[in-house]
Amino acid sequence: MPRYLNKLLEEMPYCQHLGLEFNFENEEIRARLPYKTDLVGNPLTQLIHGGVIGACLELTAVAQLTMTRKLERLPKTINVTIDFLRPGRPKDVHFKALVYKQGRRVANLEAFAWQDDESQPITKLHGNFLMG
Amino acid sequence: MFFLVLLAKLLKIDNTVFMSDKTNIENEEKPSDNNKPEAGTAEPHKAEPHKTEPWEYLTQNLDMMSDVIPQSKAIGAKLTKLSKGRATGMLPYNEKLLSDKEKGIMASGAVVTLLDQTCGTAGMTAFSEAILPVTLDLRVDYMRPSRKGNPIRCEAHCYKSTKTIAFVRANVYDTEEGDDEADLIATVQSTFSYTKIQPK
Repeated sequence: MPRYLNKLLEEMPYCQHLGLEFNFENEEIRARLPYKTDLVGNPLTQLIHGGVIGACLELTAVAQLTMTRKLERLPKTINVTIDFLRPGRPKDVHFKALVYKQGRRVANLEAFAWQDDESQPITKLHGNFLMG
Repeated sequence: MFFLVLLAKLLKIDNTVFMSDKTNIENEEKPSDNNKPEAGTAEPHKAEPHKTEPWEYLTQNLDMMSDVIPQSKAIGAKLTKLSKGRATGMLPYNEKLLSDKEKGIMASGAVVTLLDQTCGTAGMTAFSEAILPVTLDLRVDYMRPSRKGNPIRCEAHCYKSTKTIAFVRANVYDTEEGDDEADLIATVQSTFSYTKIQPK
């Protein structure tokens, strides 16, 4: 994990609040959200709050774009579309993001969240980000 | 996956209301065909007794929502207004939830949590049964970052609902009141699917 990116993310209080951990693997960022009871959105079934998973997907996408483009500042989000495919069970969630197109100012990314099986994503994010 | 809620207690109340309605209908005398009302003299419309819908119990205790859901408690998201098809949620300014400490910008992720919750609640009120909203998709367009020290307010409106799907639009402002376009920080378009809560 490049140090500058680590610093940027450490300066983000919300990232600390969630407890999201970033790992770096062949130019790809893999994030992991350790489960804690604070993240629950449905007290009856103990499922993780959709907003939390959406937030982590967005952070992963932002981190991936920052690294790919070696940006000095974190990109701004223009819009995101989050599709909830499967329920977020009360255990760790993993994230990754793919850069589909990077223009001079705007980049298009997709991010995935999964729990046990990477081929069975629980949530998918698609978004445009403004760089610079 | 959105969240919620409705306590099993509410369900029981609703079921008893529903059951008593049913028995009333059964006991009612059916109008015989021989006594058809003459044309022009329409039967006086009987005012139906107001049936309390499950979500209406929530209006009496708006804090319940944030108390019951651990994540909203953790970030301090609250439900401030609730009526048929509409819900207002508020996220107070919180230094823990910033994405930029110097500029005091609230992290978009924290805002997403508030939106998911408020939109789901708005959709829930469109149904008369106790249901559990599940987010199908949520699209957020960010207009500008929020201002330092300001709360985030989400005004959600369920403009259409079918048997199983609710369509919810929302505007997000960074003020406590009003709908000034200058205060608009984001707009939301979302769909929710509903599953009935099965009483055990």
